[in-house]
Amino acid sequence: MDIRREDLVRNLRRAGWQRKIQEIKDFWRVFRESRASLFGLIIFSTIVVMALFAPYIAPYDPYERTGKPLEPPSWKHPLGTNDLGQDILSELIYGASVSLTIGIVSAVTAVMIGVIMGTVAGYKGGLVDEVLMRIVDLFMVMPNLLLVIFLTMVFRGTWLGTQMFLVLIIAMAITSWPTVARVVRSMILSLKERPFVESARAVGASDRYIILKYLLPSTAPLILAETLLRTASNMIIEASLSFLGLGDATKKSWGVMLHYAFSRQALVLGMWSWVIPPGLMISLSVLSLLLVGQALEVYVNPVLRR
Amino acid sequence: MGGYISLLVRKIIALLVTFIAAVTFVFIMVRLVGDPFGTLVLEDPRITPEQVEMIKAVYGLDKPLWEQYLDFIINAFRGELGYSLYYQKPVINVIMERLPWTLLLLLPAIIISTILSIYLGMKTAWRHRTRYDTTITSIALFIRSTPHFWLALLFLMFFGYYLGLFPLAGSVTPGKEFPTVFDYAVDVLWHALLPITVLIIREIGMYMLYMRNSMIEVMGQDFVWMARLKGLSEGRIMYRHAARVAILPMVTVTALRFGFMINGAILTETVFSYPGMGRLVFEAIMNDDYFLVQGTFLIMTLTVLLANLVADILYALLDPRVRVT
Amino acid sequence: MIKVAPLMRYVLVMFSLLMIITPTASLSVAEEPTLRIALPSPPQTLNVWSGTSSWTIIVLNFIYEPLATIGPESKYVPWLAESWNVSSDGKVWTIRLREGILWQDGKPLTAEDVKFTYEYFKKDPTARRGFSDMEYLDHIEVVDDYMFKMYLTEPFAAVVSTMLTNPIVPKHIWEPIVNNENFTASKYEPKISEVIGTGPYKIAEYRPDEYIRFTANENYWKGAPSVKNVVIRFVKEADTQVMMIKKGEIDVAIHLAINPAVEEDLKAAGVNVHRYLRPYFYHWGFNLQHFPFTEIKFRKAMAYAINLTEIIEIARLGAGEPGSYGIIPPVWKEWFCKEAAEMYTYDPDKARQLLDELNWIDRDGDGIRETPDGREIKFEIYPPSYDPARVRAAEMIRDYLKEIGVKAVVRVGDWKGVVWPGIKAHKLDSFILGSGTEPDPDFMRVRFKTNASANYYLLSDPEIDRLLEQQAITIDRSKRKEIVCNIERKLADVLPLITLYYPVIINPYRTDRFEGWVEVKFDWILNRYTLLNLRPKAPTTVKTTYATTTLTKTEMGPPIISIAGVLIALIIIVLMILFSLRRS
Repeated sequence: MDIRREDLVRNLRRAGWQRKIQEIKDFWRVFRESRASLFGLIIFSTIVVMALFAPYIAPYDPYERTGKPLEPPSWKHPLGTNDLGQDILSELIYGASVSLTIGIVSAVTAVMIGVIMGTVAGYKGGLVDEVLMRIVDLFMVMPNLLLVIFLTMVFRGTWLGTQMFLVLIIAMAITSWPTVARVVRSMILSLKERPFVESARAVGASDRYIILKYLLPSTAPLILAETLLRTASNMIIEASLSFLGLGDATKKSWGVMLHYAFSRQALVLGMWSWVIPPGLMISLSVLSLLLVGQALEVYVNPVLRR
Repeated sequence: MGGYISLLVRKIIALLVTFIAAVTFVFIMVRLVGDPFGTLVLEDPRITPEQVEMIKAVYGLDKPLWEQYLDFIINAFRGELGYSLYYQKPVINVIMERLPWTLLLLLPAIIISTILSIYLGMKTAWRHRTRYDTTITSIALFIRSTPHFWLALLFLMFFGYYLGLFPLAGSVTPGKEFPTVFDYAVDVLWHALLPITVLIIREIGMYMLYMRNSMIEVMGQDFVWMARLKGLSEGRIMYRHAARVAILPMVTVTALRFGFMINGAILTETVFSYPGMGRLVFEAIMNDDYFLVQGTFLIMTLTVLLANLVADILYALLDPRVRVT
Repeated sequence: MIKVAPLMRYVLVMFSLLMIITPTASLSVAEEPTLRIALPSPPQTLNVWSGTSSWTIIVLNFIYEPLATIGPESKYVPWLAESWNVSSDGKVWTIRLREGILWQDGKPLTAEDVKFTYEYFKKDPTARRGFSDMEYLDHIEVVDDYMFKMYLTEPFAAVVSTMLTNPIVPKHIWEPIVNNENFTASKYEPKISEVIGTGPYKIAEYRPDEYIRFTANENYWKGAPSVKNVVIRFVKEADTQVMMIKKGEIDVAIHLAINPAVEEDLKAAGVNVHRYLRPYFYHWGFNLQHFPFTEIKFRKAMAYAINLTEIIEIARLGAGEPGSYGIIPPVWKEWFCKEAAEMYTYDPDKARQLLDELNWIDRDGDGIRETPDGREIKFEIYPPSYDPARVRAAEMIRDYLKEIGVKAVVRVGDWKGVVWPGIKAHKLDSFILGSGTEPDPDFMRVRFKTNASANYYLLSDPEIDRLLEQQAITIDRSKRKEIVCNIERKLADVLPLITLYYPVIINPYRTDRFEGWVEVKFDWILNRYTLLNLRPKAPTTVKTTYATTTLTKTEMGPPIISIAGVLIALIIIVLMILFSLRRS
């Protein structure tokens, strides 16, 4: 009896491994087929490189005043200088790390909470599910930007008030986990009924084992796609908050750059080199995230593949 | 039929629970944000703490929290939302002054963008992988990636400032006398056109892709295949069969869309200096205007919940596959 | 069967038609001699008792007038009042009103109105515009229609600046309203017909959050204003205001956030720029109970260590005037004390010398001085995050202090969450705060007296307390001036704070349509004197087509046609979708 069970589990596990490798191969095949996804991946990698190596790429320190205020573009300052005489190109390059960090950290946190909540709700069912879903509903009926504003205002009132960067991340993580939880829950609900889960349960695998070994790995591509989408939308929310004057003014994200460009009347002064590039950078990074995410979606949902 | 009713009852109970939870949540949150009278002494250093207490008492803010909460709930059911602390008049009046303008922006934007996105989503899905599809889909994706306020500002700058085709601010030419109502309507539309256009473009960027995916999924289903086999014309299959089924899931994203529209309203109204609810809610939060925040959120959540309920019912009625067990 | 595709096409065509038609609508806007102003924010309320935001006061100043106002020479001058006298004990003020002033509804202004106004302000704590100003008012005795006596509970020198600057409201309109037992000032929304003052303009139309339109008061006691129509629009973004004034859509833009760098750009576009000093002192405040600010010599070293001109040049982009160490800005000419203002100059060597005298020397060679018992000279500065100028100023202070071996840590904090509560609870080492000044020096009493409500510095100096009390009861102006200058010198010496700058505001206005602008150094361009003096440049032949009647409430929303059309379209579409779906 025991021997049979051992074997079965081992076989299942091996099958899992093989499936995983096969899945990754599959995924790459699907991914490679779509030029858009490749394009997205390339842009995204470029931006990540820019963020990581900002100090080596940027011509100046964006926090230093290296020119006269509001200089037009020149060889010395390819995008001109801002109202304090800081180099806009350097701000743009450093901005990548700030914007990406805010987006990614908040998204990853949200996805972690969402996955835990969604799995518990989907797997346990019953009252736990009911309560968690009501909480999710609660978040879904409130417009998310307003909710972020609300949470930002609340956290700013605490000791976090000197760490606006963290405040933004926490606020966005709290507002974006419910969507993830919902998606994960429905995925778990459908997976729970699959034969391989049932057979694992039949041989007495523990809940934890089933969740960690079978359910979560199967949802991995979906979770990754969710992470990318959350990162994208949180980057836009960060920019919107900064525009409304609620960003972290001490960290130069692209949103904060835009905020200063607008509040210092760059538009009226015709300083397009101050207004267009940060907006474009946000669009490009969000676009690249969406494209990669879409490829994942297509992979998860083969109907879209035709 | 009994199944429908019990489903409805369950839905309504869930709705009420969510509603009460949301209202409570806002009640607590707004009190965590700050004290509306905390900075009085800054504006007027001569003010005494006793005077601050007296002002608080006028609004019942001297009572214990649970009593304030009960007051709020009871008054809400009686249809009273209290007084705005900032605007110093009934919350409902403040809302009614702004709500029509927001609706004027949002309703046309929702309608036109829905029609256009369904149409475009259908077409692109039908011509999946053609140049038509890739062009339109990439444009939509790009718009979806663009920060809304940035797009709006560029529009304002280009069409309003450089080309001078549209006014830079407001919802009507100030103080102008209009000979007929028609002239007034034209003036209002002229002011609303740019914000509406921006909202529409943004909505399409979002919604069209949903429709496209939904449509592609439907096109893989048997009945479309069957229709092809029967030799029906492509147009007929697309409009009569596939699209009808593909539209259905769209109904379910109502709540999502509503939130998205409010986000849009806040930013659009800010950029175009348009009077409206979005900006009002935002500023109410910033001003710690307890009763105004409570009131506006109450109305917003109620709207979303009812819209969702209607959407659910519609969905159940329309989709032959959803049958209550 | 309704076909969807042709309908789509129809909608598209209609939409594009709309795009083509609408721009022509702009041509129908006729050129009018209307003064168009942009404010960043609408008035909270038209209720003059309780509206206190600065934008509310600006709007209401067109309608309501006080007994006394600040003249262009920065001294209080009689306005609705003709003269005032004070008894020798300083407790009874006899005030004579100008005769022949009419309310905008034609009734005469009398002493009864003033009595009613002041006594109501005194009574209702939610009538915040004037409640705390009436602190020392005991009662008012009407002598005749144009004369009354004010009895105070204590002698008080600043009666003119506090009490007499409050707007006077008509008793005949407000008495019945106020007598309603449920009346509370801050819960009452007056009807437009109840917003009646003695001012040069009366309200003609009000669209909340959009604009307010005034027409000239033809019976105005100083003569009807030459500019017959005024529209104030509410435009939140400074950007939009600047665009609008450049394009000539408005004549005056007022926004605290207009970037000084646009000045040249605006001038090139033919727009005048009035730079005025906003009488607020933006200061670096110290907590006198936190080390190292406990040491007076250290505070003096701070004054020598920082370069105020450079801070203004960089942090404020040049839009500011260096602060006086005696707080009172130079625009309040009568009270400004030059000696206090020039007590210190930028001199890092002097600062180093003072620190050396304290025997605070860098003993371990890390660039930071220590006290003899090894304590590092280190503290925190809290600027509020919403104001980049103050953040920048704090960073500059940090850099200056590094030069003299003092370590300052800049903590950019949220205003409402961190900085303000910290200041109120005296928890911060030092902070950067902007506070208002008044043309009467009595404002210093609530800021610098021991335990006063706005004494955020925990200053406790018996000499200053004594002088502050004394100035408040000294009626004789020259004597009072001397006392005030002593206070300023004393403050400069004790240094509970260092005023960094008084902000200068960029206030663009167009001169192509109107002339007679009066620039005042401490007020925006549309002060009371400009309003009286302003006239259209070329008399226009175009007959005014402005509505003279007030719109009723129902007409204020979007036109019924627009909403109805939209709703009908909505219903049709829903029906269409339902109809077509049913068939499947």
